[in-house]
Amino acid sequence: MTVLQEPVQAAVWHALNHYAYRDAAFLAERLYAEVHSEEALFLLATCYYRSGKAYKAYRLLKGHSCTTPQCKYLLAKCCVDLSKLAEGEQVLTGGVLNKQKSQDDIVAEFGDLACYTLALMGQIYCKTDRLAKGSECYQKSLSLNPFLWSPFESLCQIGEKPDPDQLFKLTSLQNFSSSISQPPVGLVHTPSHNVCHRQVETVLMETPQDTLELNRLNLESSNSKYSSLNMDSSVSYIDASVISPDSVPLGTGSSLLSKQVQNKPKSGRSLLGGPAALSPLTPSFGILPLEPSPGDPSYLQNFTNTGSVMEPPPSGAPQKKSVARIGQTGTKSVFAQSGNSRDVIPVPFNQTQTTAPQTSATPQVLSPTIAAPPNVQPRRSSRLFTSASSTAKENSKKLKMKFPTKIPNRKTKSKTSKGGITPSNMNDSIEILKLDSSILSEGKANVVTPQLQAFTLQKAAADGLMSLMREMGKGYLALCTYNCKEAINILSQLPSHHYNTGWVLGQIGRAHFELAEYMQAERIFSEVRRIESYQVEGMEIYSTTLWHLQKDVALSALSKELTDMDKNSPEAWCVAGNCFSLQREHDIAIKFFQRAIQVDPSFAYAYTLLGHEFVLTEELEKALACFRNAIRVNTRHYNAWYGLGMIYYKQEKFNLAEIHFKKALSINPQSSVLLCHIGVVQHALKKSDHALETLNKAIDIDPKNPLCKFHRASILFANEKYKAALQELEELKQIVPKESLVYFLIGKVYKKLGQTHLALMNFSWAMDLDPKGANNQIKEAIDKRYLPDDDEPVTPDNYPYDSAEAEAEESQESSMTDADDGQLHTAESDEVF
Amino acid sequence: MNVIDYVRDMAAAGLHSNVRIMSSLLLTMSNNNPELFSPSQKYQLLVYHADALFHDKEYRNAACKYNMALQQKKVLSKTSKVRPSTGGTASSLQAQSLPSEIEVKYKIAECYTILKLDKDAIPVLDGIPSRQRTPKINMMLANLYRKAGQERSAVTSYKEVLRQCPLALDAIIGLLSLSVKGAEVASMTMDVIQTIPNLDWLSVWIKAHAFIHAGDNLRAINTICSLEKKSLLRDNVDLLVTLADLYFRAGDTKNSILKFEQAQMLDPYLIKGMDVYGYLMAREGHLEDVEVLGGRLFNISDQHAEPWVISGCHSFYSKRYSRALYLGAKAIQLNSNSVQALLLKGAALRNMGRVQEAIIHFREAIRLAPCRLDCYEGLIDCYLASNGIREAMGMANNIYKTLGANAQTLTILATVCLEDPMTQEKAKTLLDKALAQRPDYIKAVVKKAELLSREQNYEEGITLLRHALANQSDCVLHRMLGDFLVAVNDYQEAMDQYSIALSLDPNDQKSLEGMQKMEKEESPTEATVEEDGDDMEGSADDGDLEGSDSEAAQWADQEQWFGMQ
Repeated sequence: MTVLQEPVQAAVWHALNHYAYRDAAFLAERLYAEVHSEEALFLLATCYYRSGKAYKAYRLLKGHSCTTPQCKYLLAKCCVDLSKLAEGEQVLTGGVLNKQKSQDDIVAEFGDLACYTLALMGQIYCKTDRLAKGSECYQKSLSLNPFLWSPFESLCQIGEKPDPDQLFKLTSLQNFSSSISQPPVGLVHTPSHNVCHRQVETVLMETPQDTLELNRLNLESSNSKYSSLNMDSSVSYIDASVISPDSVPLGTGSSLLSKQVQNKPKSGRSLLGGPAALSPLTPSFGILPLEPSPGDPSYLQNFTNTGSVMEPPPSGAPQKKSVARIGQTGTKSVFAQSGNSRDVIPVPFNQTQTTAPQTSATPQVLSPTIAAPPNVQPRRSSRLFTSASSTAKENSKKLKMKFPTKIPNRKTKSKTSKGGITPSNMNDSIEILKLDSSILSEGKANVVTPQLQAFTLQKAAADGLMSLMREMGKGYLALCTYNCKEAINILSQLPSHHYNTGWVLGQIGRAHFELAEYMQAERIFSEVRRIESYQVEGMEIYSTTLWHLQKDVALSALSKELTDMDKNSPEAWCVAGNCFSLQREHDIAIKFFQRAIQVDPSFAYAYTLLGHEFVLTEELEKALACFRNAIRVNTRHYNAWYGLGMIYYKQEKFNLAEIHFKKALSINPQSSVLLCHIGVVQHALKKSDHALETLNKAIDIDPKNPLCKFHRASILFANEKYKAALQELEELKQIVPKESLVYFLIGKVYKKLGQTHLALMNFSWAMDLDPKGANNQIKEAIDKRYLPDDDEPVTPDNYPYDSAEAEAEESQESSMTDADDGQLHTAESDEVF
Repeated sequence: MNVIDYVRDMAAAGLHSNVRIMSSLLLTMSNNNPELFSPSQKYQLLVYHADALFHDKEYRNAACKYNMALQQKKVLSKTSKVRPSTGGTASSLQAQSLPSEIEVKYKIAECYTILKLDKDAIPVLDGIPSRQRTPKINMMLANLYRKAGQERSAVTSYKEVLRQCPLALDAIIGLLSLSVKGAEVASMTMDVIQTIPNLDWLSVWIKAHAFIHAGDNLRAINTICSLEKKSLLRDNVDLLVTLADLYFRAGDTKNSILKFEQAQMLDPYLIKGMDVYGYLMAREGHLEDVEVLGGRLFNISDQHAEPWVISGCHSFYSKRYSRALYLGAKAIQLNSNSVQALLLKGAALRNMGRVQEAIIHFREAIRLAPCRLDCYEGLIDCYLASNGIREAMGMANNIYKTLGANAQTLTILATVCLEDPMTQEKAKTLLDKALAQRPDYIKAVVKKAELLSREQNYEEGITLLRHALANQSDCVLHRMLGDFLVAVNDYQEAMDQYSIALSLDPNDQKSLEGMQKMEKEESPTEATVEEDGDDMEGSADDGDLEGSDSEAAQWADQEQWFGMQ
């Protein structure tokens, strides 16, 4: 039965890999209707999931007991996609009677899927506010597979401080494999040996090719089986037709070779699996570990050996750069021609090959393979190779030399291993160790040298990637802890071909944005737009930057482009909302922000922006709800905490306001603006000394922040320390010489000091600089006379915003000023009008 | 071929309505002129007529007619005994074609069972000599005995069924429910299991049910899981429902709902066990789903208790108790053995203040399902509602002793102890024990937290709740943590916890209240702070006020200046 399934399965995978999801789903449905096995169920669910119908996969899987880890994982993934978190958790960890499986249990159960499973669990835990557990899961996931980026990203986002140096390194991986190869875990775990090796490649290779190769493997193996069994000719006919499109483009030199190699484990399987033949799954899991295990120890040895040799070189950054250039000019072609398609990968293939048969039974594990035609991805990785290895030229030379001798070598090896396994090891299949040693000695004799060579290369490639990820990790971590200057620093040191990618530039742009360096942020973001016009992530930040810079034309152009491009992304709608917000069309802006939330309810920034819009339209209750939602979605979204604090401040609940500002500050401790607000609130709470302290701290962080200085001056003024206030204001005048309010306050100080003449002079300067704003003040002053309750706390509030607004309209040069307040995207200033 | 043959053919062809009219007419003829039909013919007529009535669901009438037929049969046998020689061949032929007396008796018993006249049914079946009993008679008899509490007779009858049909699984369940040892039951089927291929799971199945009836939920779950893992029995609806029910009994609501959902997806016409499913969903607050489920089940059958129970649960949890009471009563009417219906009705009665009636219902539920803890909990709640702490304590102790000291029983006992101010300490130790056994048992955590909040031991409460929340996320726990944090003036964190609770269950009224209360509290505390501040730094305050005043004056000055300009 399983034999009969294989051509259909292969056809399904083939269709899947060529994005023909409907065909794949149709075939998988037929297959499932026919055999009704869990394997087919998984295949069908995969088809649904890949065609973007998570709900279909969910319902399908849910209706049936899932026992294999693959099915469970997919079901859990669907649950998370459909935001049924509790259920997803139950599927993954739910044991009997609320007892949860420990992480070790999960590693044991999910084998090579464990790293993804743990990442998924981390996601669930974090979304249900169990950050400690979530971070544990992420850490574990990373330690299982250091090539995963998103768990690291999530770790940073939940406020953990993972150490990139510890996480992104191969030693952890070695530890892992060696620990697993120890007897206690035994047979069941041997597949996970391959994890590390496979992962090395999955990163480098694109999946389609891998699975395509898998197809071929399936097809060919089934083919060979048919021919050997003299089965129905019609079936094999179908096979051939399915194969041919594949093998034609790929079958240059390597197809022959790969076929032979591929047939090896297959035939081994049929030999071994034939008599046992318990179920479609058991032979592949039970027997195949025999095959990888012979190779593994020696591989690992090489790995560690080379590891110690290779570690020093990649650490130096300047050297790396130069090497990278060499790689670009010299060796790239070499790799593209020979290295990529043959030399580099065949050897990895040799190991992955061993995994392939077992994956063929459970095909979603994409086994990466040789004959992948060179495409963008590998080429980039080849650069990595060179950047990390000591000298690229040497390597390439060696490669060329080794190439001819390798094929026979490997062939003999495969033959010997086959011969070694079938007769002797069938008997004592449990004693892997014994077997290992025997094969090891056998293998060492003729295979070690080319293997060593290949592993040097492989290790170098992986190391290169690791060091890159370490750097990026450090940068991202710095950004997430709002250590923006450091983040910019680290990220700018990346090699230029990485620096000039959307992701890196986007992060740098965000860092500038957080530093309120809007001009730089805008420059960087426009660069992102130029390089990757399809980039949507981070564009909401760009739009806010433009909002602060009041560039309405650029903003509306951006908005149009993005909404045309992707109507399903919250970022696009946020941009549109910002665009209308800038036009003071608040009702329309609110609608767009609401659309953004509708599109993606877990997009925290959209809630915050909506909250600000509601503040502008004076709907404070709604704004409160929005900010709370933003916090619910992402507790580390400090802008929302700030927004809440602002509202409480307006409502004169200063205690609450202080709490919220402090919370925001605890997330973003480098923000002088937040400190400044805390100072203002503390002043309102009559804690003037504290307020001054806080403001001093803020000024320490950002000595040229006029807002802080202004507030310090006005607090000093309120505390009747006129001299100090005057001094402060004089300094302020140096920083922002065209700010009318400064003169206004100076005038007030002189008035207090009884120097009416100077006071009058300053007042008239203030009037001259900003007649409109001053008039406003005067009008308010008149109002104040009649409504005396609207007193002190309002004034420090209104002044700065007014200043921000006024200045922004006035000129771009003083971006610092409007920055500080506008940074948090409060447009409270509009209220004044 | 005489007229009787025609009637028999009609009966055999299933034309019951026609048989009914015809036989009625013929019987009247026979009554008016006894010479027309022979006694055996009259017996046949009576049986056919009763059969027709049975099909028309006129059970009482049918039973009466069957009895008349039996009477006729007696006469018949007597007369045949008196004249054994005459027409020997003919009479034996006739006798062969006569409906069997045993069958008639079975039918009578069936009528009585349907009419819920078990007391009348048992003697009828009992009257059949044990050698002539067919398996179905034995089965019915066993069921009747079991219902009537005659366990020994029930066991023998079940065993008799098993002897004749070794794969009678319902009989096996019956035996196990009468606390016959699993091994003994298994031994009776062992021969068959060994001869038939692919039936090796049966012994595991028996074992699982033995565990179920022994109240050992944990091992039962494990056994059934192991059964389900075998690919042959994967996705079996009955197994899934049993498993879900077990999870429910063990207090694992999440898993239970998952399994019920799966069973329901596999078989949309499933009725059995759906009442528990509906109850669980209602308890979890998914009222809309419950309503949909109820409507769906009503479409499948309204002659079962389950749809009524589900609908009742919906009413109960939307606080329409009188409606729930009515629906529960209707369910009980349809199936007097429905534990869930009894619980529903009992709970509704209790919430309407009719505690004594409620107690009766819970007692009945306990009698039917001695292993289900929620029956006891309901009863204890009733006692507590009527100030019967002593009775409640007795009951709780009783459960604790009979069902063993697991987390659930310990928590129940502790709940009762909490009610009595004298036994607070005991409650604490009990809860600690329960938590030691199952650290994540939410009920115990909640109770412990309540206790701690009563003692105003907020710090410990916070650590307890945080510890519990590390492994699971639950709205109630977050809310309680929020309350505790408010108590220790950590408004920031409290706000977080409330918002988490609300994000888990947006309709949680208590969290909303807590949040609003906190916001309100915030202002008074602020006011008090200011009041305090007034005493301490009154002068500064005044100074500031003056400052603002002076500022106003200053504005006035300014105005003047501008006026001057």
